[in-house]
Amino acid sequence: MDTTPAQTEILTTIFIGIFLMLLLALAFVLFFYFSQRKFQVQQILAQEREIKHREQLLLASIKTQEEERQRLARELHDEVGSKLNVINLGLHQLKKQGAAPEAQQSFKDLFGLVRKTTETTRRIAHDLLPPTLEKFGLPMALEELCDQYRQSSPVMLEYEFSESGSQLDALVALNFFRVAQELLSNAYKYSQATAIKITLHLKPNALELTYQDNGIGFDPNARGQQKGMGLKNIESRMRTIRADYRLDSAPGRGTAFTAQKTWS
Amino acid sequence: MYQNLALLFGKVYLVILVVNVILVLLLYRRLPAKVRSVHFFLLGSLATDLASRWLFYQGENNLFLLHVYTLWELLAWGWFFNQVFEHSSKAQRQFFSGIGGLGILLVLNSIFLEPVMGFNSNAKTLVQVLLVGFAIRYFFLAFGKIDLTKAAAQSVTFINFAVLLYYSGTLFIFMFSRLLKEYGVASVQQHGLWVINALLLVVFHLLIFISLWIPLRRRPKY
Repeated sequence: MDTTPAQTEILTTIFIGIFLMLLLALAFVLFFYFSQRKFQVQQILAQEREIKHREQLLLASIKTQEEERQRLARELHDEVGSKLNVINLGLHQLKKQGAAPEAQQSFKDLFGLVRKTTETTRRIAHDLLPPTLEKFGLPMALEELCDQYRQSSPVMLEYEFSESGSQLDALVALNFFRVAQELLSNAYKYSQATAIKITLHLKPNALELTYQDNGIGFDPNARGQQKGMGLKNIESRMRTIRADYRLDSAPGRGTAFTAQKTWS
Repeated sequence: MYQNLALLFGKVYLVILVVNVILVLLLYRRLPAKVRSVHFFLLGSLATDLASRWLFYQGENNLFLLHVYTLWELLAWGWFFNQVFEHSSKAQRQFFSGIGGLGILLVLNSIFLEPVMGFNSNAKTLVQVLLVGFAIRYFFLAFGKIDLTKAAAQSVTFINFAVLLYYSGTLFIFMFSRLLKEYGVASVQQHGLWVINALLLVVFHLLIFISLWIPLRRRPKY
């Protein structure tokens, strides 16, 4: 069956039209798809940069906080503490030099005040940076920390330490101590736990801290205020020393935390 | 040869359409609201396709079904795009009034301009241009606002890909179908066009199948 030129022309027009329309549609679809993907990747990168920036800020603030704590603890111990000792000695000197009998009561009051101030200064300095941590190491500092909590609350707090020999880095020890401090502080404030167990295991090439309580637990993935500064601090501290950590908790199921720092 | 190819693609397309209809009906509740609103179109397509095949084998003229199908296409896709565009209630009323008005125009066209026993090129072209416009509008509105890693967004985007590709690809076929008859082009010489239409229908329904499958294969993350 022969076609007339007009028929051929119209068929050709239709085929060209179909081809062009399909080409345009395909180009549009591909342009959309790749532009959208590029846009999304850029958005993700911007978000990652923002998260990294926030993390750096948090790390810097933790570092500054730690340095400031150390400075304050030393100032209190070296400056205020020694000056209080001098005041105490001076008072004793004055008393020996023969003060009037009516001044005896004032001396007694002043000695009491100096003693209390010295104790308070020591306590503040100790809270800021436990000397036990510097002098006797992490295991003893944790033992001391647990003792303090045991004295102030009826919660059954168990602490276990095992060692298979290794030298512990001071920064790692300090951060593990702060993490344990934070965990205990949170437990006593919010968890309503009746039993807590902490274990510290010093291996030849690793340090492992575990914490477990039988409290009310919480949802670690919940957004907003539930994931407070305490948890963020723990995460940041672990990241600072590049330690692995895992937090397991759920409402009504208590809280478990494990941290491990390995070295070669 | 072209006729056989058109028939083969027509069968493949029918199988995919049946699968899509079964999927959308069986798993209706598990599909996102926007995606499942495509079920009107799929049901209408299957009903029209089966009826037209039956009439074809009976040796009857089935072109009046094209008029019905065009109207159904307009209403069903109108419903889908109304869900996708998330209009305000005022804009929604305007949108439906527009679709309704256009529907009346299609009916008037079938009564007065293009008889129901012939091709309805005017109506079909109008509806296809409108649907291509809707799909393009979706892409402009969605750019930078949707997350293509999410199943619902991916599915709706795939349906829009399908609409854009099929309706722009077949625009010229339906636009000139009446003219071809008027110019006396033999139906044998038109087979090539219907092969393209059938092939694009296969692609169209495959894309719709993918869009129905995406939300079903992805389980929600907890």
